[in-house]
Amino acid sequence: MTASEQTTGVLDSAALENLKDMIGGDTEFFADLIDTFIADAPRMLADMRQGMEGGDVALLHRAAHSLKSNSADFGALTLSELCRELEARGKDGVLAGAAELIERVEAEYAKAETALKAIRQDL
Amino acid sequence: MTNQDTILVVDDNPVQSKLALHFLRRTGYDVLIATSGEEALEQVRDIRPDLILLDVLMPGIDGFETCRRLKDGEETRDIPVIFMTSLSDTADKVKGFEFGAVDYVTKPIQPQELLARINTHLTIRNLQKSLQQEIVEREKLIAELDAFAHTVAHDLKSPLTSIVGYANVLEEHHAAISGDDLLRYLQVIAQNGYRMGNIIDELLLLASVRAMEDVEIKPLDMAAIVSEARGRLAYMIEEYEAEIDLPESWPVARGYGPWVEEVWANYLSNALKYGGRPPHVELGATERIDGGPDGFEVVRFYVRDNGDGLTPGEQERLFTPFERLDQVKAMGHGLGLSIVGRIMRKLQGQVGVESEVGVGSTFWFSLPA
Repeated sequence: MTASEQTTGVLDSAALENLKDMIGGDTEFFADLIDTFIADAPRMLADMRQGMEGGDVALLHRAAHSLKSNSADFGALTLSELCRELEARGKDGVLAGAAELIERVEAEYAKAETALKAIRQDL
Repeated sequence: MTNQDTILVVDDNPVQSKLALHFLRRTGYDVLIATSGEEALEQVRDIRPDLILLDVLMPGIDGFETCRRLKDGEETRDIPVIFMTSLSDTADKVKGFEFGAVDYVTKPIQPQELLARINTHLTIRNLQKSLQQEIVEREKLIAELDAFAHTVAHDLKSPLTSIVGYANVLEEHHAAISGDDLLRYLQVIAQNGYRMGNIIDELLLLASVRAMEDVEIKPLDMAAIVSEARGRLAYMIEEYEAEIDLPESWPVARGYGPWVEEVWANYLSNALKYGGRPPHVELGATERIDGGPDGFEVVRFYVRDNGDGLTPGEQERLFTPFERLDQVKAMGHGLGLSIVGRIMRKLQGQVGVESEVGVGSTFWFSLPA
C-alpha cells in the first residue's frame, strides 16, 4: 500500500499542504516533526485517561487540547474533532460519555499514526 | 523592516513550538522558546523580545495570566503579544484583547497570515518606539531651550542695566562731567555692548549647534581656524595687553571648522577674562595619542593661562549641560563652556580642564586625528 492510499480518508490533503508550506520543503524537519508528534501522543492519551479516571478535568482538558492542535496540523481532522469534543467535556467538567470518546480517540489516533509513518517513510 | 527582530514563542506543546520555531527562523527572525508562562516571564527579564506569540492553555499560569503580568511590568508592557488560539475557541479569541494582546492567530497556523500579522505589529511597535524616542528628545530640547532662554535673559540683563545706567548719567550730567570720566563711561558702555554681542553670538551658535544634523567632518587647517578666532577677539587682546604664544605648526585633526573656531574663541576669551594680569596665554597641541572612546587616535588641543586656577569643585561645575544651567551657575563662564561641551560631543571629541590654584588652568579639547 502506498503512502497516498494510507493517508486517504485519514489525513486531509489541504491541511497537509498548509503544513508543508510552513515547513518549506525541509524533509528532515518534517520527519522530525512527525516523530515528535508520535512520541508525544501516547502521553497525551494517557493523560486523558488519567484525567477522566482520576476526575482531573483540567488534565483531561489540556491533553485533549494539545492532541487536538497537533492532529489538526497534520490534517488528522477526525481525530482533531474527537479531541475537541473531549476537550469541551474536560472544560465543562462533564465526564459522561468521555470514556467512549477516549476509545474513539485512541482508535482514530492509531489510524493517523499509521498514515503518518507511511508518509515519513516516503520522505 | 529588518528581520533581526526577536520573537518569543510560548507554548508547552513541542509539536507547536518546534513548528513555530522552524518557520520563524526560516523567515529570518531570531526565535526564543518558553514552554510555560512562568518561563516566559523569566526570559523577558533578561532578553526583551520584540514580539511574543503566546499559547492560551498551558500548565501553570495560562496565557491570559502571563499576558496580564507582562502588561503589568513597566519594562515588558510595550511588547506586543499575539495569542495563538484554536479555531474552535471562539470565546478565547477575543478574551486575549482584554488582557492587553494586540492580536490573535488561530491554529493550525496559516503561514502567510502569521507573517502578515507579525509584520504589522512589529511595524506599529517600531513606529511607537521611534515616536517615544522623539518625544524624549524633544522634551530634552525644550528643557534646554527654557534653561537657555533663562540664562540668556539673565546674562543680557546685567550689561544692559549698566549701559542704560551710564547713558542716563551722561544724559543728565553731560555738561558737568570731566573729559576723563566721559571717556571712562563711554568705555564701560562699549565693553558692556561687546559683552552683550558675545552673548548673542553664543545664542546664535547654540541655535546652529542644535540644528546641526550632518556637518561635513574633514581635516582641519588649525592655523587658519585659530587665526580667525584670534581676529574676533582682537579688541580684547589689545584691551588686556595679552601675550599669546602659538606653536609653529599644528597637527591635523578632523572636525567641522566653524565649530572648532567657536571652541577656540571661547577658550581664548575665558583665558583673557579670567587669566592673569596681564594674561599670558599659550595655545598648543599634543601629538596623536590614544584616547578616543572607540580606540581611535586623537589630538589634544589646549589653551593654558596664568590665572588663579580653579579648585576641583569649580572645575566640576564647568561644562555643565544646558538643561542644568539653571541649577548650576558655572561662574562667569556662562553658556560658552556648555556649548563647547556640546560641540565636542557632536564631533566625537572630548573636553576637559586641568588646573591648579595659584598656577593657572589648561582648558583642552581633543578631536579624532
